[in-house]
Amino acid sequence: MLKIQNLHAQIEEKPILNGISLTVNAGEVHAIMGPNGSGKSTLAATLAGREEYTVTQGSVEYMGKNLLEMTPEERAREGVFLAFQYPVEIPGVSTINFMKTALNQIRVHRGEAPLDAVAFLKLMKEKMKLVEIDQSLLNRSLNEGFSGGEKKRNEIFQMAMLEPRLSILDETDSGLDIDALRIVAHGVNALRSKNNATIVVTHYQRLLDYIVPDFVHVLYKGRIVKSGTRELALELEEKGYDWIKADLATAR
Amino acid sequence: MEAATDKKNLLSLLAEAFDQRGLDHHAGRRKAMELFSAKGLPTAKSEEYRFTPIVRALESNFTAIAPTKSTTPQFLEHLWSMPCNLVVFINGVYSATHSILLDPHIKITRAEIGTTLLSEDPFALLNHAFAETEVTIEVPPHHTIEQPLAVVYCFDQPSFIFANPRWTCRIGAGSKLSVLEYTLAESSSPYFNNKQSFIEVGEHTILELTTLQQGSKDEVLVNNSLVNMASSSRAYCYTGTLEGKLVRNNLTLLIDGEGIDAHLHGLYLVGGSSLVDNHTVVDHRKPNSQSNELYKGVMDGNGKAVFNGKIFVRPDAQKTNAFQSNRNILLSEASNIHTKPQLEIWADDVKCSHGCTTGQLDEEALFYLRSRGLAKDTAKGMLLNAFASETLEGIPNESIRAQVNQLIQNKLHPTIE
Repeated sequence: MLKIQNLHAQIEEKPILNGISLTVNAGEVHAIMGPNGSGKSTLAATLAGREEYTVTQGSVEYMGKNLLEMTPEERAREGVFLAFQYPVEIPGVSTINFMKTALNQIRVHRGEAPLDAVAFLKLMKEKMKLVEIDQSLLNRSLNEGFSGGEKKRNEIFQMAMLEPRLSILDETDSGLDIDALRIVAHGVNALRSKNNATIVVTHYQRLLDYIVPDFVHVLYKGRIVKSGTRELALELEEKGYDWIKADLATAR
Repeated sequence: MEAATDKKNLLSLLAEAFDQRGLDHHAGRRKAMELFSAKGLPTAKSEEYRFTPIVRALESNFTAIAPTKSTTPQFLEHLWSMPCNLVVFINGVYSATHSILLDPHIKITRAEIGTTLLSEDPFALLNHAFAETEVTIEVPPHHTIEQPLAVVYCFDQPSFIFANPRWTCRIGAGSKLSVLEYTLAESSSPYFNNKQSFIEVGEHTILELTTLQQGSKDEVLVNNSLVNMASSSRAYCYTGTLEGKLVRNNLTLLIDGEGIDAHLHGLYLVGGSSLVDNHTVVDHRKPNSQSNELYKGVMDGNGKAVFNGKIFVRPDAQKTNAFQSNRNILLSEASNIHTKPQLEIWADDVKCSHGCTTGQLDEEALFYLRSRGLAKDTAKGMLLNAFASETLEGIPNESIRAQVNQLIQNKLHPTIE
């Protein structure tokens, strides 16, 4: 589904990603871990098409197409979804109001008929249950005055509505108490299928107790320095990132 | 030097027209014209018109020929979905034939222009000197007028027109009236609409004044609007500017009583090389009243806007609450805004605040919406509409608000569903 090869990216002349290669197949969950400043969020943003990041080298192939040539909205319409680490507050735009337009623009792109108000509401009610989110929240200005947990649940709600092929969760656990974490993880797990894939970007192992990954990669200074299975995450939890850093120093 | 010569030309054109039309026989008009001539037309040095080159906008095709009223305006279409009492000006001249009242309690009379000057603004003086007649609309005490009163300015000539519509509206105590002001014009007809209105709001009276400026692209409009409020009255003034080459609004509210509640909301969407200038004055003369003002603008292309908000709190006006906010979005490098809050407070026990902001469209928000699949234009239109629609809180009538919102949406982004 996704094939990243030797990806280099920078922001304002400052290199952040220094040659990332990663292959993600349908049905898989990959966790990207790493210390602060290692480039985790940059990778997520680059895949979603954030314009501040410039790709200087390498390629990203998604469903057989060149992902890097697509605008953010084309990526979304092709099934890429980014759950934001810091969801944006937009006064005057409600979740319901923009989701209806977004979903219908995606449906038209896929050659499907737009949903009418009744069908949209039905779908919405169904997805609301998944993340235990209240409709009054979705009628309000997007994320304005929402708690940390409410913002993240709203992200997963949108993910459920848009049914992406490739979901990228950027530090979805940050700002979540344990109850909210369970709800969010439950939502993500319910959406997993053999046809879609998930990349979970996280600093801590905690989230991976709930969203169990097939593969774990450690990002450091813009490169994947270690890959493994779930056990790698547990080992990191125990030994901390210094262990990886020390390991790398010895290897040199 | 060149500008000075042109200015003289425009001034002498006006002076000649005044004489030719025999307007100098009338004391009130003569008084206005004399004062106007003494003051001259505003230039870049005039404090109140520093950023607003009205003379330059006018001098290219100005003729002071007396406007003729068309016998059959082809496009007196109705902008609003609800039935309205109509007061119609065609090319600046009041048209009794087209002014049809639905509510028998409203009385319209016509009289010769009076001798009391409403303002020393040069354009107000010009209107006083040149207006065809004084149209007075009267609403008796203790009547709620159900259908809005639509004051329509129609322009149906392809040639330049110097129009001076003028009306006064007296709303009796304990009454309620909604006034809708708008323009109907061919999309590129050039005209100078130099309008003057004066609304007297009685005690315990409610006024809703919704002014929608969407006339021709080549319009020069000076909108002098004076509202005088008595005790315990309430006013909602909305000024939405969607079109026009140069638009200047002088909206003045005299808070001349106690327990008054005044709301001023405005929106200006300025593109191309247009200029929209809002000068507002809220003059608190008596204690225990409040005013609340919110103006917002979106500028694109070479569009320019000016906001000047004066709040006066006179020595007697203790316990006044007065708030003002002006917020702007600049979409292009070449667009700009001159914003100036001007609070002058002589009373010591008051609550007053003001604030102004100018920024660009929020790039984070734009990326967020696009990352959900929204086309860039749709996302942009949605954000701008969210920004603009906050001003609609200033229109109490739901149906009018919905229609104004639709016009704003069409202007900001024609394809939002």
